[in-house]
Amino acid sequence: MIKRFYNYVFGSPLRNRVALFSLMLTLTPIFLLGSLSLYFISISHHYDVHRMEEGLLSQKIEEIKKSFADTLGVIDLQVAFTQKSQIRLDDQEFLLENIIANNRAFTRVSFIDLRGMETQKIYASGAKTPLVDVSLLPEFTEPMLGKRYMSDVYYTEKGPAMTIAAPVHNHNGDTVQILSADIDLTPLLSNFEGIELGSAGYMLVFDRQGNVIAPTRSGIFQRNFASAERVQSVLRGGESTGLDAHDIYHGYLDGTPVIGAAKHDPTTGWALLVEWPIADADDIIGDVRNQIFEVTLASVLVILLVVPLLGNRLVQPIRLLARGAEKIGKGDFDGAISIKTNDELEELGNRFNEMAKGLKRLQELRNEFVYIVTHELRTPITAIRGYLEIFYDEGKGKVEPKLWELIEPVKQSSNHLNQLVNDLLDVASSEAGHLSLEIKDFVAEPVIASVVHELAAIAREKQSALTFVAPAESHTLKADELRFKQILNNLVSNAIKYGKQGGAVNITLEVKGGLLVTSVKDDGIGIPVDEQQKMFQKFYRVKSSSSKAKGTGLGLFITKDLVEKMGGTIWFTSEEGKGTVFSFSLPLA
Amino acid sequence: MYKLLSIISVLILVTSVYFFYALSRPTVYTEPRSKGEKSLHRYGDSSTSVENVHVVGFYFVPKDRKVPAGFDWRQSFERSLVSLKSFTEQQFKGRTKITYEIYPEPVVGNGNGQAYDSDDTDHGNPHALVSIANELESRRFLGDDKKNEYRVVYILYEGVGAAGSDNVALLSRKFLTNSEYGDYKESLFAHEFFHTLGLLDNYTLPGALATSTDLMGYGRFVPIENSHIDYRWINAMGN
Repeated sequence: MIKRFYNYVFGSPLRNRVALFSLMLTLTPIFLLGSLSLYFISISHHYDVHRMEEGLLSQKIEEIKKSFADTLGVIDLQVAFTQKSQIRLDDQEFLLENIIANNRAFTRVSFIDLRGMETQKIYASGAKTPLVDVSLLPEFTEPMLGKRYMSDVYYTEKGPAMTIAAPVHNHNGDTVQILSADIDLTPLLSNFEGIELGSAGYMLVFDRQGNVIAPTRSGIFQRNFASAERVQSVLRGGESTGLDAHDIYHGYLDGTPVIGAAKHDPTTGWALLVEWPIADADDIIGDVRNQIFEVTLASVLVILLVVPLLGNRLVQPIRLLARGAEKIGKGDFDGAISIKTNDELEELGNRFNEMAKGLKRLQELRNEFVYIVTHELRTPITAIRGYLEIFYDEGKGKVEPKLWELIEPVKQSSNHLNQLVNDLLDVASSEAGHLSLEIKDFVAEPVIASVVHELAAIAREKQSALTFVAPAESHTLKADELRFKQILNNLVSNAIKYGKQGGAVNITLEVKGGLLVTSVKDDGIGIPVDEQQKMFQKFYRVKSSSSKAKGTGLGLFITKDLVEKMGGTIWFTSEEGKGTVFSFSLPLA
Repeated sequence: MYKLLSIISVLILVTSVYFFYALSRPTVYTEPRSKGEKSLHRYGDSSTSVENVHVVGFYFVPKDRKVPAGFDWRQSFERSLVSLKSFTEQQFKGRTKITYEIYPEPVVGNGNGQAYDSDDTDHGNPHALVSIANELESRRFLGDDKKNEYRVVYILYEGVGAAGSDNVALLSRKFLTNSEYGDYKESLFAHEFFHTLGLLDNYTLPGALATSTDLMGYGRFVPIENSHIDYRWINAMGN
């Protein structure tokens, strides 16, 4: 089964070539165009990623700016007078209570006088703590210089927080007091929770010291990355676009390779980083690539399935033609080949059939010619032999010895010519379809004995021992008795002819599976291995110089034809210098 | 011709396959970063780890004084220690573990209150801290230090004082009971504890003007849930 499959797949070089070229012609453009499209998609995709990351960063920076503008706006107080003294304590308390009530992010608000002493303080929790001198703290010193103050982020039990402060002005722009507040950054930083780019991208926010302040639920919250090259650079005011080679790096969150972009937030001095895992960001490229692979694979499968079918359509007619040609080569002109492909191959098949018919007619004409010629030759040859017989009979004692010497070669030549004509006639008869066989039952042993008797004289001339030991039981054959005798005659006379001087020729019988096998063994010169395949060809004679035997070269051809026409087979085994055994089988009755 | 076609096709295929794989595997830049976290240690002393801190609390009462009636000192002490634990572990992001135990009975001092009190209230009466700590040591209240543990003795003192040094802290009981300290008493409690971790006061002397907003300065007057330790001290301790 494996061999059959192998032969089916690889047994036709033409079909395999067609399959290979089909594959190459299909896959080359797919891969070429696929690679080009993948390349260009990749480039444009990188710019898309950059734009998305930049867009997100800009959006968040804007949000921070607005949030702090709103928050700082809350403590941007202006008294409605030209007073230079601080706000009344009652009014301070009222204002602070309002700020706390209306701004949930504020956890503490204080008024500070111009000496740096807290004058009023309220906690959103309602806690009461002493008023403290903060004159050395930047929440006082900075606003005293007319600036708004924003501290570094610090971390309380409630979460990240920041202190802000601003001067309270009168209409002339004089600072009359300072308003300071602690704000809970959790509401602002909650905007950075759950930011998604694709399905796995995220944003990290670093405070001015390089601590991660968002997302608060990430595993790296409050971890310090001040020593990281990228974070350092951004905190110093730099940025990255996501387009440089260095913008593909191991992410800060968990080390996964990411495409990162970063910006410095001018409002707070924070660093905002967007990181998008490459596997997710380039998902689309992976999809395109996979689609190209799928199309390629499908194409290969289709080609491998379809090409054998198409190839067979091409190869099958060629094989039919080859088989037809082989049959014609063996002389079988019958059996037209049928090619129904409606194309040039069918036309070729039809022409082939016409050619076969033509060759058959030619063969028939040739056979007829040979038959007629040999038949016609027989008449003069018979006359020559007849007159020679009379000459030999009547001429004894009357013809000079010298004349006998001249006439002897004539007699031999006429015998040879007669044999040749007979053999040619046999061949021609067979090929012309004139050969008739009289198949009947007969006992083989007496026929063999008669052949032995007839050829005994020739054997004696060569001093060969011709033996046939008849078996105890006789064997009845179903064949043509005369032709059986003719076959045996040919084989035994060959054995004597090519046997050793003083050698032995044995005839034996054996029954094998309903067949009688007759074997003729000699101990002669044997047949060279390189000539054994041609033994049954017309006119073939072994080219051994050691043999002086004469013949027409048609004997074995005729013998084989006769055996096969009677339903048997003929074969031989031979070893040069040791002898040959010719065997043939015929059906038993 | 067939050979040429085959060669060209193979070249194109190989190039294409390269494209496929080159595009899907970009080079990842390895950024230089610091190699991991340092060990958390006492401020200014990198040889002393504070990753495991065990606080042993003693309520110390001079022999001429009594525990105020109605004062559940154990509960008050425990509440402060719980608050301290929560605050400290949060500030160090879980890198330190605080455990505590409270000596079950008030320790009655060998001396009267005068023996422990002093006039150095600006500095929080360190005399009381030293003398009481020595007494606890000599009276074998302390036992041996355990390996891999940083032991802090916290003395709740029935007298005047608020100090912290090395691994001993002392706080007057009044800070836990007087209503004026009600909303920030835990901050005061924690402030003295952080001295035992090596942190210094962030206020001026004299005058007590805060020089930082964190627990060691202004933040000791702030409810503990609003307070913090300045990031510079935390970073310097290896966090």
